[in-house]
Amino acid sequence: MMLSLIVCVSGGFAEVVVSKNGLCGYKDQQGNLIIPCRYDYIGIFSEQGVAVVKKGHQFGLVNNKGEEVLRPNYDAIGPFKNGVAILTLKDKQGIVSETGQLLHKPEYEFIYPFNSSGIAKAFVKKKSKDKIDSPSVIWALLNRNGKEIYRGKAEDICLFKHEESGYYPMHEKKADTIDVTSGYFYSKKENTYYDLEGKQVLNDKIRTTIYKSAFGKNANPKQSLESMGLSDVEFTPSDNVQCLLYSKKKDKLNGLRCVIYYDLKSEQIIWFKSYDVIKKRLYSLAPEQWFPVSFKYTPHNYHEGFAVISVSDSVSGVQDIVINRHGEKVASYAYHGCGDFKNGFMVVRDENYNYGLVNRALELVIPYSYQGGMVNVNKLGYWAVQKGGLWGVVNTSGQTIVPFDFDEIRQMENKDVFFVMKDYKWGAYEQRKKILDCIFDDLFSFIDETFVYQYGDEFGLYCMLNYELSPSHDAYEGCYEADAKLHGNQMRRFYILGKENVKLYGYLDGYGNKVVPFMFTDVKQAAAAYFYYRDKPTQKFDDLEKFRARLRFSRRSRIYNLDSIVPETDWDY
Amino acid sequence: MKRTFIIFIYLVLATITYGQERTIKEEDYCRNSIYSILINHSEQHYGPNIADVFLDMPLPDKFNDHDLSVKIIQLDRRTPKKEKGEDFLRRNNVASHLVARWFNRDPKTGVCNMDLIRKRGLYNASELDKIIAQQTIRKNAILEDAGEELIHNTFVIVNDIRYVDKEKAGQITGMVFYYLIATLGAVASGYSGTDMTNDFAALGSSVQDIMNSLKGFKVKVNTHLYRLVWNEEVAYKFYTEMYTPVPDTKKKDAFIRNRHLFKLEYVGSQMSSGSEVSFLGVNFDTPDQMIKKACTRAIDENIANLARNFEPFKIKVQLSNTSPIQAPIGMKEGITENTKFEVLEKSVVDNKTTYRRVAVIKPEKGMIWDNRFMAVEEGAVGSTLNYTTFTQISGGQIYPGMLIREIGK
Repeated sequence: MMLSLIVCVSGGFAEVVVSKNGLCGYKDQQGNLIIPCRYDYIGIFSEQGVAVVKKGHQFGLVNNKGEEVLRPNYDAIGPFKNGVAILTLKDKQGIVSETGQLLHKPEYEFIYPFNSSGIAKAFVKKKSKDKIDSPSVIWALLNRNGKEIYRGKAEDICLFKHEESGYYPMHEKKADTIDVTSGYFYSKKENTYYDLEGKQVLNDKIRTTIYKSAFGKNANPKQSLESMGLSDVEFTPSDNVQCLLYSKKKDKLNGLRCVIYYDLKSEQIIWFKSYDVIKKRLYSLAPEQWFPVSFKYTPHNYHEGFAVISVSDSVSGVQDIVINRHGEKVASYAYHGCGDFKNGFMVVRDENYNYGLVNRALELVIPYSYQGGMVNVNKLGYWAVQKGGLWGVVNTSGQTIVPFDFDEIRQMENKDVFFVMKDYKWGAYEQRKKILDCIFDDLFSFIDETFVYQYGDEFGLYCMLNYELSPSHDAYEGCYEADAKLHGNQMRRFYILGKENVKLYGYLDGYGNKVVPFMFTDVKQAAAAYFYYRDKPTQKFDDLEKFRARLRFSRRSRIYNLDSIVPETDWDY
Repeated sequence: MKRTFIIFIYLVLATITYGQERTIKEEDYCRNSIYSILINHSEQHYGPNIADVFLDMPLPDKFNDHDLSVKIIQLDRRTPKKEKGEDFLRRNNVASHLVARWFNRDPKTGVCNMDLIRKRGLYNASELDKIIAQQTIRKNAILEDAGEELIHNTFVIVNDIRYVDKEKAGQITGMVFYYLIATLGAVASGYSGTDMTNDFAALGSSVQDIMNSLKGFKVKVNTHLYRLVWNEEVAYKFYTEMYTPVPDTKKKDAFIRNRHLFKLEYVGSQMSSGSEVSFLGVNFDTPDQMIKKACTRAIDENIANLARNFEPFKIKVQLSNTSPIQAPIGMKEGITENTKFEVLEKSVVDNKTTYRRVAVIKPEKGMIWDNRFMAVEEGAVGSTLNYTTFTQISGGQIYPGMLIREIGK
């Protein structure tokens, strides 16, 4: 007799079948036995049509034709994310693709999850007893192709701050900082940018060459920047363009002398501007002399193909000038009035401090009609703005999505959910639909499709998938900051800030159940407690002092109007 | 012979008891308790920065912390200027919350205890519990003493901080300044979707503007002082009808219904000099320290002047040494070469505390401790002394542990 289990496969359903002796196989939608019953476990098929299988104590991969694309010889295979997974063999880790190709053989002690830029860090120990901050431990950065693009010592590459940002050194005073943003990573020690293939795209030699090729007529090829009395300041690359600024050392950022935009992909100078203070001459690649002769201007970096230069002089006042990737002026806005392009739109402001929106064609799609607004439109094209002293949300066509009824709005980058505040109570909208009334003392984003609510002294989770508030017995102290680290079995370690801003660590599962209470000031202790508490019922804190400390911490920065009545729940005594 | 022997024994005892230097713990005396609130002007420059700094300010170390969770009140353009925080305090029954704190009252159950009173008043634990249990409250010396020494010496200080704007037509609004300073200090911005890295560089030419603006940063602080009213009637009503060591719905509700019975009385106000604070000692990477320095010093100045001018608020400090005469008090408390202090002998008779002046002292020139906020970083003269040294100008024998209290210039 065979039991059938319905499992979810992308694009439809298929059946995992279990034989008499407990081994699993796989039937397709037509009922054909594609994978014979020979595995102890079959995972969910990915979009590439590959599933993790287990035979005995070993894991491998099979495709939806039943072929083993990776033989079950490995101790563990992690979940696939963006096409790659981390696998383990005899306490060493490597990387495998969804097609079963071994991208990097297992040679690292540990590989951390890939961040959004597609880089993971890993380390290798010479001796198993070495601690990870030991000088003998080698650290590496890997791209999604499994290629090792950087290798250095423990002092060079250390702990994440969080997934979206760079790496921060353990020994802050001594160590290098690797900053990974916008598809490049930067070694502070070497003052060098690398692309994701490990190629140096900007180092000191290249910088000097760039400068001299821009100002070659007046620059001595043998003279260094320093000897010319110039220091340089750089932005983080954006849009594959690096902005380099040069000024006299004494006033590094003020009284800017020259700016160069350099394309890291094509290795070409897009645009530059310079004012020679000695010879009083202006040099430029751009054919038009449309800038006022002033050395005081502030460049922005490129975003979505455009950069903005703020120019000021005594004649024209302040202007924001928009240039394209060829360095050509495409628009100008008076009175220091625009932000950067993001998600295809740019916020602009007129002389009366009214805000509007332009698109990539530089057409004013929303006229100057709002008295305030978020600096960017979010990815879904929603923009939180202020009119008549109250906040609402509009889309890029100017249609009102959330009415102008609120004192404050929190706009999230990737979502069409908005937290709205009225009279110090928070509610939520999903697009035009109100999903929560303004009755909560706080609402903030948690993980995935859930967010945290605070109602009086009760905290809980609200799940967007089923529009449900979590049961009260699962309520926990609160999560003022979430430094989530995926820790197996979808457990996440968070911390809350207790008295004197001491971090108190605990674990929550994906449903917000508190597996480990928030009481550990030491991360390792919390991790040890996780294994202890894993199988135990959730515990509820009822310590009055801790409650007061939490409440005081959460309320102390809240501002009350002089004529208001403070809610009873806001007092700690 | 007998008389001589008695005198001899007395002298021996006196020598043993009083003739030795001993180390006195600073906690061996009762201090005033304070709750500090900020009135924030939302429209002024640096409004948000001042609020942030206020929350971070160190508590004056000569007071007990009696803070509550509500710390910042907002005053905007629509509110009349002469309106004080007094209405806010009354409307929100702040006095009742201060009392609740004294008794560690659980808002959910109404349960109270004497832990804080015991701790701050240095009372014997079992005596207090017995008194409460036996309901021997009226005319009880210990509770009267606790009331007078501790609860009645609870103060609310309402600080109205205004930035002294050097340039009337400022080009940058307060919120933008806040954002700029937040970027400089790598503090998370209040705006979502903001690319801080690029914005910092994009605003690069304003960095110098920020620095110039913060040098010579000045505030004027108007501090209003209120005192918690605690007398025999209030105490009796509280202990008999509202205090409960176990969950009691009736007593819990009684406290809530009678919040209005607890009151604050206005004591006085003080305006700071608004003098310029130097940029010395401020780290260039975190120029917002300047705001903290200016605000903290202004508030400390007001507290020192309030203590000088209003008897109930006077600070008492213990003498650490008598050879030379030294006490851990300094310029933060407003000491100058011309201030004088009375030396007090504390005695507890029948559980009641009394103070008696036994001597008068004054600071020695050049030996005044500069303990103002960031004095050490500033390299101020006297910042490393840790004590102020005094000279006795009148009175009898003084001993370590005696309290001193300013009596005016």
